[in-house]
Amino acid sequence: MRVTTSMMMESSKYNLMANKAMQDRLYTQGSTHKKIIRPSDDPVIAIRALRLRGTLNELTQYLERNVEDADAWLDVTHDAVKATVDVLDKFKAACVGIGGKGTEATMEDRQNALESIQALRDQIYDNGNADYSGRTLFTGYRTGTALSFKEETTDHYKIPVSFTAEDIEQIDYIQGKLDLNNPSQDWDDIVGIVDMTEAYRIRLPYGDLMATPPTIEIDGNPVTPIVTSIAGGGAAQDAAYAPADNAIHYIPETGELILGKDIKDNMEKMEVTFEKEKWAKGDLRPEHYFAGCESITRDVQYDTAAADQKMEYDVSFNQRLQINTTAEELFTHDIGRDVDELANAVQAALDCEEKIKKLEAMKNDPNADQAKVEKMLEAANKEMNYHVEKITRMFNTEIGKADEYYARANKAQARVGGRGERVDIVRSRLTDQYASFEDLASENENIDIEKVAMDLMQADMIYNSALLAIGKIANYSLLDYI
Amino acid sequence: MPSTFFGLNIAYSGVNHYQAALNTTGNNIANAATKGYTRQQTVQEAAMALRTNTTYGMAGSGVVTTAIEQVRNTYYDLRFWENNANLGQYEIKHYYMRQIEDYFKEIADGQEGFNALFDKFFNAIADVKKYASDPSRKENVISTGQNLADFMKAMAENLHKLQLDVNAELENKTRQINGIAEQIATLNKQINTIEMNTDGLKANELRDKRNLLIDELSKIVNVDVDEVPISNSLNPDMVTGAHNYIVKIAGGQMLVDGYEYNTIECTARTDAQKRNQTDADGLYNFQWSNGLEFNLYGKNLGGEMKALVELRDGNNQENFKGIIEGFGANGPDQTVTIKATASYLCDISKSNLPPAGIIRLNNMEIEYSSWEMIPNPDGTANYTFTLKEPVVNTGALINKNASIGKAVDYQGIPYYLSQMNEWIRNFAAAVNKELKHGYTSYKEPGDVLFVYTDISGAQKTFGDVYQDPTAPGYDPANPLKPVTSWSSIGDSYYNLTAFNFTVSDKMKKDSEHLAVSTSKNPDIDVDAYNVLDEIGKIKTDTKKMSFRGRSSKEFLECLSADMALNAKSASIFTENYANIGNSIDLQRKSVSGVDEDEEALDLSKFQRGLDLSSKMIQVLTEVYDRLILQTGV
Repeated sequence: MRVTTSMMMESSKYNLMANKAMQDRLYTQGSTHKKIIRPSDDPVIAIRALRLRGTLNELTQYLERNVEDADAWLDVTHDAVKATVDVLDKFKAACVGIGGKGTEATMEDRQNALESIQALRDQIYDNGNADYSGRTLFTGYRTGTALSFKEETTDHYKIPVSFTAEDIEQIDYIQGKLDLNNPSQDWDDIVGIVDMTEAYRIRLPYGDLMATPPTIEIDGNPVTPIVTSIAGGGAAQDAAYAPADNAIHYIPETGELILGKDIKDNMEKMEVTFEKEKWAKGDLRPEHYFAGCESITRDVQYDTAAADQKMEYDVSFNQRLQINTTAEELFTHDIGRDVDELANAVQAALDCEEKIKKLEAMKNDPNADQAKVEKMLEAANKEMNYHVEKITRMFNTEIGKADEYYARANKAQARVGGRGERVDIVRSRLTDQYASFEDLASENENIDIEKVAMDLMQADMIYNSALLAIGKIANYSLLDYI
Repeated sequence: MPSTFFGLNIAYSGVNHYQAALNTTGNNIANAATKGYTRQQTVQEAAMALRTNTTYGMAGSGVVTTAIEQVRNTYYDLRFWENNANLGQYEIKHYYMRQIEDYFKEIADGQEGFNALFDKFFNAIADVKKYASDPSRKENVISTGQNLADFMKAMAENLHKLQLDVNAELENKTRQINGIAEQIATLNKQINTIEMNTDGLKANELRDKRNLLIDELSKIVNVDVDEVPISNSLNPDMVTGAHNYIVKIAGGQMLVDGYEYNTIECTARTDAQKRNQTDADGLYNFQWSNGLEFNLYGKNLGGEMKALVELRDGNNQENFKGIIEGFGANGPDQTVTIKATASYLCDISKSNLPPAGIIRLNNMEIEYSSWEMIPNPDGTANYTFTLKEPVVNTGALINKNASIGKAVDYQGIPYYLSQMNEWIRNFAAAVNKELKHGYTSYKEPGDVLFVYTDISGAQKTFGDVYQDPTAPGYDPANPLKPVTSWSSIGDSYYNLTAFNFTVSDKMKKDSEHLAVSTSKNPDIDVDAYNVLDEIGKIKTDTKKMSFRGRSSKEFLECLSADMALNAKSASIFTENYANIGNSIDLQRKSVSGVDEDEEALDLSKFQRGLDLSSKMIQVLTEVYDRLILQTGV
């Protein structure tokens, strides 16, 4: 093939250009430390780089934001729950203290025990309002609402509750209490009528309810309760606690449903919707505990309770962690009601003591009918014995109940602790993942500086030798020799 | 017996010839660096021998320089032109694909590209989830949403600018073609004038010039060159010396025919003639000056023009096509119903149909002013177009094909724009749908976040898709209107494109209008966040939103993959064709190039020849001198 000088020049020019192109690429790699400048340089590396960066960004979001936020919330929750557990411990100790004394305790002892239990109950309820920079911890989504009422409120609520046969309690009721002010008592039998009876009841979560009878459905059948107010005291009160076999008595002042024998024997499930209007300071707000309650005053329906309102954070890929503890995990209304009932019982006993004191005083009064006074004193003492028996029994039962309350709160604490541990595990795993993805991303995109340096040296050498060769071609021609 | 001075003639012919040869060599040397120059050679033959009627019979009578010829192999020329067309095509594709790539680039750290902004939006959503009652976090969602919308708009504007650039370059190329055509026609005339009637005369320089022009033309379009000798119809065996030079471009379309040439003209498309919904305004259509259509979309267009056309109009063959089913009542605003089965035509979010344009019914082109699409339950769709002129002879058109625009088999700018549109429509719809299910902190039903602005600048909120929240009986659990048809002039997601994508002003003014949960008491359930939960899933859950079968966050990866692969393939082809072109050119040079050493040798050869011929004359002069002046006197 005929080869002309210009062909050779053309060829070398072309090769020089190719060489320069490679040098250019290597220089750019050396200065940017990246294998590619634009995706078309190597589509596979480019797409991989996009994916790895996406993953790194997600890891950063999880690691630096979600995990830290979850940790903070869980820490504060844990502190609040622990405080509650400690208080419940003291509560249990107080109950054990007074229960241990049994019938030998004096009324003064009992009063003291009652006061400390009341104080502890207040503290527990206060703990329930704990918050984390303005957002209450135990109220689910309703972080703007406290757990209990901060002051006396009038707010007409309709609250649905469900009960089963296990919720039926047997209580002692002292019948025929001596009434010093009632002139029409049956004097023959004022001793005989003093008696401790049993009543079967279901205790609603609140006392001081409205007089409107609640809607009750037992095993699907609606039943109308009889409203029996005990405001009058005396015989009305006795009648309230002694329903007919197939009747239910609704006592609005104490929030109790007294069941007749037939109903108590045959019932399996009961749905009650009751209404309450007057709320004292420290009463737990019903919307956090009972799903489906509504405030008629404010025309608000609360479809869900706190228990249904889980706050979950995405702490890792496809991993959600519930970070909130809800109110009923910590404590329920039972603590408050127990303490209130204890207070009522103690108060009733104190009233009886007052009656005895008065009667003792009347013994020295010459105007009084001594026979009657003797009888009344006997009745009053019988009543007092019953009171002591009732209170002792109540304090003893309270020990067992306090145990249950303690166990519940303890379980909540364990759960929060467990969540905290999970967050730690997730955090350490994310940190590891982050490091390895960073490595992968760097390996994918960044150059190996030694390799580039070597390639560059080689390219330089080739360039130099190409220039040398071209120089030689261009120098001579035949005319130099003719 | 030959004349006494016969020898002188012979020597004289030699001198002439060697002079001519020397001149040719000198010409070659002088033009060694001229572009497109083909080396010339003198062609000589021994002159006709004379009968001498002596003992030695015929006597040679010297040399005749018959021609100065070019040494050129047209085979290489043809191969070069073929290759050049491909080289031109891929060079242009490589250049523009690189530009498109650069717009969407997100390789370097710190570049706030699509992925970064998209992640920021979802990070903002995740932050609100953790503290839904904090108003500043909702603000963040709205502002990151706006950033995303702005980015998409900026990208779309860039693509539009590029489309206009490509358009301008197309016009430039046609002007170049016109210029070349004129020059070739002129050269044809000049060459024929020189070569006609003179056997052996070749207009070498003019032919070189013409070949150079064809070199240039071959890069722009596919070129077919034919040179046919003109014969005398009365005397077909006569060699006239003239040739008819025919140049056809772009698959057989006549550019130059001898002394006549055609030019290409361009007219800008009006708004009513757009091929794609989001084409830039004023793209050109091309036709020949004699009225024939210039076929831009033929397979044989070739060259840089093919690349430019594919970049400007490339829609991955996803243009509208269907079968004509029926016509409406005759008269103004007549409608035609067409059934479409292709999957990209049965999903309104993928629609790229211009709201008004030109539809081809069988072979007839008619303008339409609006259209309506009715999806069928079996996955096909019926389109009803309102035509601007009534159609006669409707019966013959039933069951014939209808189409809008052309199916261009390349992923050009319209393809990327329609991909962006599709993603934006699906994304906005997915986010808006979740928001519609919720309640704002004002206890109002949730409103849409992503909206679009219409031509007048007013914000539209998809009235065709969602029921009116202020109407009585509105239930956020079912915010969608039961839709049976979509119209080009309605208020649906079809009208949302990358160019008018934005965030609702209502949200920007007050971020509390962002619904974060479906709770009916958002003022009490302040930290409920289930709507945001569902929105968060849009990022990765293909059931919530799927784009080309992948999740929404893989948008950039899909598009980058398309661009990167197209750019890479263009670059590989460019390199290949450049290499091939180079080697063909080397072959050409091997045949036609001037070699200094060769010329130097020729120089000494012809100089020697001239010296000897001159010596011959000298000798003969002395002989004549002796013969005439000193013999027999």
